[in-house]
Amino acid sequence: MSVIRFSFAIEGRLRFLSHLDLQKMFNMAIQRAALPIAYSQGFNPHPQLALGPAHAVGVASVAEYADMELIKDFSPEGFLKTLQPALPQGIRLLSARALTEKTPALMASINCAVYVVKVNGLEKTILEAKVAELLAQTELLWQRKSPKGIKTVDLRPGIFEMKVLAANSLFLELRIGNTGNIKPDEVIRALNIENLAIEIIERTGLYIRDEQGNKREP
Amino acid sequence: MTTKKEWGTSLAPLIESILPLVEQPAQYLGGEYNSQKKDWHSLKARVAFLFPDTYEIGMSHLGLRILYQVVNERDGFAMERSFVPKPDLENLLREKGLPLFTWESYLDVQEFDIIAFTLQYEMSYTNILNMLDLAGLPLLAKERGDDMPPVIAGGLGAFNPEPLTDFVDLFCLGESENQLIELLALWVKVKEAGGGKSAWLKEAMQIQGVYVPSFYRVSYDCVGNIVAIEAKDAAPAVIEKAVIKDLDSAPYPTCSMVPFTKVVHDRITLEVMRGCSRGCRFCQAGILYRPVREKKISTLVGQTRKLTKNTGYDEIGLISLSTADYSQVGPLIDRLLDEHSQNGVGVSLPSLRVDAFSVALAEKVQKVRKSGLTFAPEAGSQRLRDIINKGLTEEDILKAVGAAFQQGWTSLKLYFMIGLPEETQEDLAGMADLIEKILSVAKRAKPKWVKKPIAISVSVATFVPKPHTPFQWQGQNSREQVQKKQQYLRERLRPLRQVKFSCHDMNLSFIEAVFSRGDRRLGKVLLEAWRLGCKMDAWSEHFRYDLWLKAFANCGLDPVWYSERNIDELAMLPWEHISSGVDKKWFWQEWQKAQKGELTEDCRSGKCTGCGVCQKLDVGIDLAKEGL
Ligand code: SF4
Repeated sequence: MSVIRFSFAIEGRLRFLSHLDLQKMFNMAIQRAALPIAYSQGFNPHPQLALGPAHAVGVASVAEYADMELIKDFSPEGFLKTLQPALPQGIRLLSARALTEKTPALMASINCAVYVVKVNGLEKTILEAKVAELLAQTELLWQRKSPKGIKTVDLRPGIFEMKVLAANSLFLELRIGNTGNIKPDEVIRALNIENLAIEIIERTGLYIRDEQGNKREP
Repeated sequence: MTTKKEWGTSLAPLIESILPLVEQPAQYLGGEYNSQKKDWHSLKARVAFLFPDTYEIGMSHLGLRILYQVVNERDGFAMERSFVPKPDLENLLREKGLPLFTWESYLDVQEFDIIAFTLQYEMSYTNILNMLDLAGLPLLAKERGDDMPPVIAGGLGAFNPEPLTDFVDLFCLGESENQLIELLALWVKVKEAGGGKSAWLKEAMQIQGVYVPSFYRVSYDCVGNIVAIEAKDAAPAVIEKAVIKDLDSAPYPTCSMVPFTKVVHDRITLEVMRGCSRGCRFCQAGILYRPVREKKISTLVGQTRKLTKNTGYDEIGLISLSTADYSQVGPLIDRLLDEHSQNGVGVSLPSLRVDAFSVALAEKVQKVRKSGLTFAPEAGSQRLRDIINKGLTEEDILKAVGAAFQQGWTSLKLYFMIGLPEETQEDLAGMADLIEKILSVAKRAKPKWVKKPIAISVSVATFVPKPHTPFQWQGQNSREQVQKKQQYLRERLRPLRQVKFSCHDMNLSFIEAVFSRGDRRLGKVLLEAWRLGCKMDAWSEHFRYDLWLKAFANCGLDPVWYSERNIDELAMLPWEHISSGVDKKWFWQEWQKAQKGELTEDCRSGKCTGCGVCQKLDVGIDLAKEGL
């Protein structure tokens, strides 16, 4: 019996998979790899695989996490070697470790996501000015549309950091997880710059962030 | 696009830029586990397989998976897939001037050497035109130059290819596993010799089951009856279908693709046999896949082992026209469950016969989770069941129902047909009576410990006469007749609380019947219907009956003549030159027997009933034997 925590990248076109698709894909890959995964008890047993916070459809990533419970001991290296060939191109395993002591679940502990957003090129100084303007606000009300209707949320407290990396790329550190989700495309659109188009969003990190702003990997 | 892009360059950046704007982009990704992408420039023959419906339907089609593996496992050949984009994506593609692309490499479909369609149902034909148009190709075969890829089509629909002959260069009749490879090899040969499409088409006619319609001239009399179908040059007068003699050694996709998104059949598809020899007189598939050829148990066990390992699915669907007829079905299920159930892998039987034996099989595979059962008595009265040669008594049906409910099933789906030849009011009353009896047997049989209420759903289709069946000469009921019959049944069944009644859209069945027995002249109607905006006709929310009627009117053709007329015994059929291997004489003889209510026995037991396919194509019935 062991719990493996592993990280993986979502590359290329597979960034358009939904969280549900990803879940299904992993469950099938585990069967192909014949990994001895544990099942939940009960009438409708579920494989014990828990993905971290969902990536939004269209967002690529080099920092996704998941926990898997196995009914046998498995070395992290052996795990990576067994699972990788069973995955489709575009899902690349990055690391794995066995969780020894009781560790909080990914969903309960991850609260910070870092993104690099590529946009169509713009004057860097204009971009910087707009970002400074946004960060200067104490409240940033945003209408969030969902199938259930429109909800107004305040984005500002969930923007931990934002900076301009280049004329066509921005760095964002945003709240994620059980305490609330701020989506990178919302923040970019809240910059309110006409003709600014997002080309690609990549999640570059998921962290457990404390009140002082110190981050550590899950 | 302003600059002309280089041949074989992927459209990925352009397509990916519009994917965020469509619903469920995951259906357009390709790149599924076991999908294949080859180096474009090193290839000698590239096929784009276009499925004329959406991804979720196309990926449930076994033929696509078979041909995909057959082609891709060969060096120098490649097959990529394309499906119908949903309207949101189609609009974006058109808006941005982007063409139809293949899922694997996001390549422009028209850059492939050969474009292949599968013909599964008549109501997908406008999608074929729409896909060609999206690909940027002229729709009419004669308007596509020698430098443009040939458009070919196979599948059951190819057995009456005539309505599509304006658009398709070549049809593949029968089982295409070997035929397609021969066509590709010929393509390479012709290309190397400096030839093009026209040279290829000419030589391709030597391959079994290949029909090149431009080599045939059809003439009509003043009413529209066909008076002659003449073959030009070296074209064969009659084209015989291609058939695989031994299924055990035939290629099978054990490295099957695993879609990311939900598709209609999301499980392992294990084809246990081909063909069905029961001889239901309305059934086209039963004829076209003759003779019955079963795989050995050992073959199936081996294929399943590979399939579970390569896909990760937890369900093995045993597929065929009538899986309960597979000679070794019991032992096969036992073997599969023995080996795989400890890994949580189950077996499912999508099609069941209506008898206690089938219920016992279903019980074997669904011990724990009892999903619904499906029975297809097709006709309500004994007289009519004998006419269609269903070979099923009321006693069989009620016994099966009783057994099912006794064992804990609570939901049952029943399939019936109305408008069958010779149908009378008594037969309809018989159908309603039978449903009442089924319900009361179910109520009596249901044990006390089962709490779930009984739910019976009755689905009633309208008979569509199909080519290459004993009923091919018979017209469809008029829409007025169909409407009355549906009305009658609806009223009769209304008092039954546990019965949910639904019937197929009769307008759809009507247009289907027109194309089912249609001739070449319908090409212009198809073109006109597409021009008016018909597409995705099989989806009720997209089907535009008004536009179809307008298309017929604009072309000066009467759809009712096509759907309702009884064709004369001696008349020439539009598919006269297309052979399934079964004799036309045998069909007529079957029709005579039908009228007398005489049954024809199943030939799998060893008594040949003379349909002729075995002799004509030098094949035989091949049954699995015990223990093998
Ligand atoms: S030729 Fe005879 S044995 Fe062969 S399929 Fe026809 S009826 Fe059956």
